[in-house]
Amino acid sequence: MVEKRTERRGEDRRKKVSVDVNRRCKKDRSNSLKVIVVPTMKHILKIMALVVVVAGLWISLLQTSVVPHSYTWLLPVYLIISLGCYGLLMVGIGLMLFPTCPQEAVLLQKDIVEAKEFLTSRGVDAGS
Amino acid sequence: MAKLEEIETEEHQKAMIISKRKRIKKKYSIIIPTYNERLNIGLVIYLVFKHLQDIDFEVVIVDDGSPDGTQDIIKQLQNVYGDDLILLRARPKKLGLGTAYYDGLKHASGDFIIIMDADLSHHPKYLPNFIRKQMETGASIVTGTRYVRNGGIHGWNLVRKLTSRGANVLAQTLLWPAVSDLTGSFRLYERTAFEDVVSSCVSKGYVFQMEMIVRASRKGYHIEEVPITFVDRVYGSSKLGGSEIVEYLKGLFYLLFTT
Repeated sequence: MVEKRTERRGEDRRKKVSVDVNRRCKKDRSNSLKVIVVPTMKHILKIMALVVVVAGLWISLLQTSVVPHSYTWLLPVYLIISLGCYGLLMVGIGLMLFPTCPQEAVLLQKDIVEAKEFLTSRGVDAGS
Repeated sequence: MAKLEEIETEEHQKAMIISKRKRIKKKYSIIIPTYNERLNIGLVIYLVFKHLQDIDFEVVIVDDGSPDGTQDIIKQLQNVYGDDLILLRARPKKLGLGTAYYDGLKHASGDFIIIMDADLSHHPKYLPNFIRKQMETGASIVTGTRYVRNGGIHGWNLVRKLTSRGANVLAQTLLWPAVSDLTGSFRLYERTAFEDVVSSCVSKGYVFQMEMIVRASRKGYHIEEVPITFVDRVYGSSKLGGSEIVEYLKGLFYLLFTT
């Protein structure tokens, strides 16, 4: 029983491949190759795990009453609102710092002229 | 006699070095899907040949039965550049982007696959940057990103920029991808990586591009980014309506639950 982690590029690095080459099995004369592949966790499961952890924290806060109950009940609402604000902030910042390149349009027009000259000289129909 | 032997071994050594270089030299296949790109395709091909001087490459054009005569232009280009360097794969009608890449792949003989658009929004002058980045880092996938400092977009109004930025933030929050530009379609793939990922993607249009990069990211491929500039359509029209936004959201949630 040989257990090897596949190092080939493109294979999921978290896959474990167990290879069982059964050459001397008395019952089964043929060479059998058993491959067991453990799939990776789907992305949605990662997110759900995160939500479960946060929910657990919230429930424990409710139980231990470190923070007054009126605040604790509203914590998820605060969390969602702050997430929304963060999102809007990122959109706003991104919009302000949006990279533009007006000089590229000018360069492109030059390239187009050059290309058209070359192509018409070689008999390719490049008219508009 | 001694001199002759010296010359023979020298020649032999030179031949060894040249054949070794040929074996190391990689070939790049550029797949360009086209539909009604009669005005742009010639310009794109000229610029590709201008900027890839010392590279072994071929261009595979997958045309979905363009009614405006794109294929005639391509045949004229084949006369100029050679039909071993420009391959035309004509399809009867619009069959979708994913199948276009798959068809192009079957006709491509390169070690690397580069995909780009035919409408001059992707400038071929960045092709050497992709190739260099791949050689330096040994990455499996190099993707062009428009949203970084050295990149940029020209020709978008404020509303377009807002939707793009909002879409990007939403995708980053939900999917945690390894790249900053999910919907970009100017990319370089190792052939094995491309074959592996394209067979597992089912979406259409630009959601296909998102699916490719997200699936590749989940499978653990080494992905690098290169800044590119994007000049929105010089000839022709580019639309972003309500239906595109709905498509995007559907694609996003599909990727969230299935990758």
